[in-house]
Amino acid sequence: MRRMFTGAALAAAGVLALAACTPEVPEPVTAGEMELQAAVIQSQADFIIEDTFAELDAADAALDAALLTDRVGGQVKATREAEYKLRKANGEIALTDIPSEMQATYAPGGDDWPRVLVMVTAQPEDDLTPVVLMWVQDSVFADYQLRGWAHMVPGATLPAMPGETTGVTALALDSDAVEPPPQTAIENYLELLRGGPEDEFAGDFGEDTYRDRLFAARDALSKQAKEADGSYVDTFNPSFDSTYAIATAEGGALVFAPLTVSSAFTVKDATVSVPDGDKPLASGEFDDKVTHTYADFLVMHIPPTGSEALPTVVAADHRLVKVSAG
Amino acid sequence: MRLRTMALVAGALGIVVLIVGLVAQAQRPEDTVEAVAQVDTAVVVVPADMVAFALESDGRVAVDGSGTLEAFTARPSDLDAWLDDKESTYLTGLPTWEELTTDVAEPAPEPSPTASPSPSADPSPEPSASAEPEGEEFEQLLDTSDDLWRDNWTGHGRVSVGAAQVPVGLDLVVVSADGSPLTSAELRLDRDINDAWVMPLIVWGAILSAVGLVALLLLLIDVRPLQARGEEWLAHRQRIGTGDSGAKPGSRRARRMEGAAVPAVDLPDEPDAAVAPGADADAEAAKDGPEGEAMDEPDAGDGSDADEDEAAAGEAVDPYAPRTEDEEGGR
Repeated sequence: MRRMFTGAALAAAGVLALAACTPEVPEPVTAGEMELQAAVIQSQADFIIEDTFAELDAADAALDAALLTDRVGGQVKATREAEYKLRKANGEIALTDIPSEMQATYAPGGDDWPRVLVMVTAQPEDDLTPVVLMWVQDSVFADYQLRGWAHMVPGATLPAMPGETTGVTALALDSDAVEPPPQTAIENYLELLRGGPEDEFAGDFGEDTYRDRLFAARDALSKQAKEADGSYVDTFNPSFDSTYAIATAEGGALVFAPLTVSSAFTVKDATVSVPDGDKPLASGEFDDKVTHTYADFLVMHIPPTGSEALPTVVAADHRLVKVSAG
Repeated sequence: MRLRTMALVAGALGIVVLIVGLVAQAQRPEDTVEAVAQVDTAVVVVPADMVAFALESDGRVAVDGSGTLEAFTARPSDLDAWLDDKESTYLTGLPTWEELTTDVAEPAPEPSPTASPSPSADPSPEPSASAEPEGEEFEQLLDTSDDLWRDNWTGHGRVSVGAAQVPVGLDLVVVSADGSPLTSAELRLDRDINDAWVMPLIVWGAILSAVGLVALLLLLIDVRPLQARGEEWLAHRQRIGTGDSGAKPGSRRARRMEGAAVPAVDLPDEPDAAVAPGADADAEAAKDGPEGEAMDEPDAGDGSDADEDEAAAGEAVDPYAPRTEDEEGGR
């Protein structure tokens, strides 16, 4: 009995000695901050690019816009659909070349939706400028969807943007972080487009080739219409539900605005004719009026408040999507 | 007697120390601990803080389930939004080394639709007569966008992710691809056991026990006869009590006891005039070596100083060297 007690005591001594030497469970810790706080880092962007161009390439190969589903939508889908119609009618017509190689990525930061992911492609060809692409994610369950693109205006430069360490901050369209606020800047620019080169807002924006071409086309078509006792009218309709603004690193803003431009050409006592190249997009019986509808996309840089620079369109495309008799 | 008693005490102490050491060795805690929690949801979340906690102990998180399991990392705010409509299990802490605590988060209640009083008066025209489905149907959780995931690991039946693989600040989430509930979550951590004392304890216990064992053997076995024989042999070797008064003078033993005779060198004083040539001759002799011709062949004709010096030096250095008759006569 005594031996058992002694043995048990010795064993207990050993176990107790060990128990005293077992380390304590570590205390809970707080995780450090994320190194890359952007909602999309480069690996995710690469996945999005790959998935987007896989879908786009498949649709391009089939010339079928119905294949543009998850990754391509909005204005881009309408634009591509029009290009498919033109190409089906004339195989010589090329689709807009959008390089899948990117030279810059502006990743969204913040925790809210929708989120905007912007990328700038490499230069497509020698005579073309890089393309600014805009993806939008409506919710955490939705894919980033390519909804807008525009070639950069020759000579324009994009401002420095926050990297993926912090991500890009989204701005509300009425944000007073910049002057004028994004929506006001777009509205004033549309007034300038409507009013022409002599408009009161002409001095409020930097020079850009987009409006120069628009004004030149308007002059020519207006002259033709007048010769036929007709008229030519451009109508600009913004889509602020699909307009987004993001903050630049310098304190300014980039605004991405899709526009619908309708150009109505009317003649008197005559019948308008539609060029053969546009006929695949035409619909209806043409009489004395034809309306060309364009899906335009603008990227405007608003400099930071206090800067002497003017808000300037840095990328824009003017793309015909429909020709109607009405 | 006193030494033997101390050895016995040391032996007893050694046995105690040895037992404690062996018990400690046998019961030594593992360097790696695995805390397991049972789960019953299709989603297991390891928050960023828990990942950081595991990282401090070089830990790994493993989740078991059926079928294909996917593990992702995501920003916490994005993951919270994704989990908003899902039931999920969060790993929340490790209060003890063996206990992994969890918390089940219920999906947020959906907004209540209009309370339309539209009870269906008509029973279903096609009552279902189908039997229960063979396999249980689960909601697919991964059929939405993958854009929020940053890193991805896939496993079948089990997916394991090291905390070091998860970027700092990101949450880790494990989801079953088919929506079936996961079964368990495991947190494996390394810990530093302070067991450096166990092996020395065993060694010292063994040494002390051996000492005590020797003392015990000496206590039990009568070694006095052996001791007496040893003492006799020693006395015989030392010729104690034999009347031996020492070595005889001149015997080899006496010379050995006196030690080796060291020959005394008595260098004569040399005249100044003979120093230089004599030194040269010595130098030449040194070059030729001890067996050189200048040393071995007496030069009868030239009568140089070197020969004289050699003869003088030879006489002084080696008094036992054999001499010729001429040399004897010259003296």
